[in-house]
Amino acid sequence: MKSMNLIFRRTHLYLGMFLVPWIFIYAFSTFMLNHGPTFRELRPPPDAWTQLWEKDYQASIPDSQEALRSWAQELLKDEGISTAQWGVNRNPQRVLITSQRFLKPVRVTYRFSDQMLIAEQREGSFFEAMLRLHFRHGYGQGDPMQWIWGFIVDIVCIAFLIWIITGLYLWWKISHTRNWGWVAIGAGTITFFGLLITF
Amino acid sequence: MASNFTRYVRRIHMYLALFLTPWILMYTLSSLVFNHFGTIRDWYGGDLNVYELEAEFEYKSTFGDEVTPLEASKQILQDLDMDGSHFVRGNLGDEFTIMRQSTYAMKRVVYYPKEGRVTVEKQVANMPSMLTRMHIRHGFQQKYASMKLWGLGVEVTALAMLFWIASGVWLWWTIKPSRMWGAVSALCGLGLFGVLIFGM
Repeated sequence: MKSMNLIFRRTHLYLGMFLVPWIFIYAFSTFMLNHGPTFRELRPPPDAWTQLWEKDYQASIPDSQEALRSWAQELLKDEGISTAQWGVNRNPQRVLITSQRFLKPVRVTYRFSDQMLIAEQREGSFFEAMLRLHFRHGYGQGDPMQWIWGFIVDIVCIAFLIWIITGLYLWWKISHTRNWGWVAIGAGTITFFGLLITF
Repeated sequence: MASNFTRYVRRIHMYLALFLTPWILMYTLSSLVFNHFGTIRDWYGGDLNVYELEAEFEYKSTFGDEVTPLEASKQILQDLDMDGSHFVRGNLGDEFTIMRQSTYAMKRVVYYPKEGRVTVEKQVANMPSMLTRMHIRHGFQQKYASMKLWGLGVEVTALAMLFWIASGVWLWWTIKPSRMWGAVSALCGLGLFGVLIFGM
């Protein structure tokens, strides 16, 4: 029984130590989102992009969205730009490919008029990076880094469930905290469901 | 002195967690929904946003040029006796949609100014949508007390998570036998995080 207690205690602790960076991201970015207008002012303006390079490029752009995606993915790989999460869209003037890198996203524009390929990088911003880290989820479509990120998101979720279970166990083992513990659980539950009902 | 401080830190760490258990559970389950959205959507026939027509009214109102969509939406909701937290899509003059938020199921109110009518649709309630709606709700911008109180709950949860990091690190340091493996865990986590953040 003593060893069970120790296993729960250590699991609770080591899991927490391992996941500190992710917990910090989710906590701080949630605080930012909750104060949207304040933090929006601290972010770079929408046009804060710096040109990395430009070059002549002749390409016949595929018509179908699927083929366009394949073409764009190849282009990103050829240019050594991350394909962990990216998107492509076109209009009559250009094709725009955006690679949503965490720290500094990169966008590549192919202009039809002069057949130029232009790569630009977004200005780095701690606050924008926090939001990108918060919103990134899912296993992606084949990129190993994105798969690992999705897996970590699952690990964080499972860790929270483990913290709840081990936390409840450890609370119960400290018998003199049981009364106040019940008060905390009861107050938290009433507050939460009370708020839900008022919507 | 130090042990008393540690005792207080330990107790606050624990009671705060017990108090916030429902919030943490909600964020955990809803994050799982986001992370496996395609699979979960397929469980519900490929669409989690199914709406059913609940009512249709004649509604003739002229909003002046100075009236914003948000002001108009509030007026419409008050006229329908449905006032509450909401957001708006579209512009006045065109067909314009008010999404009235609710815990169990969203209501979609569509105003057709040219036809002078309003339709009210209710989302078919489902657990994944309820969870994700709770997850994304935040902020203090809306003027409704219920929204501000929810924003306060979000605030407390976010600050509590930051406190759990600080207090957890403190408590780890006070447990001498766990220092080495705690440090190894932290370094592994930081290392993996570094690889991902710079590589993606």
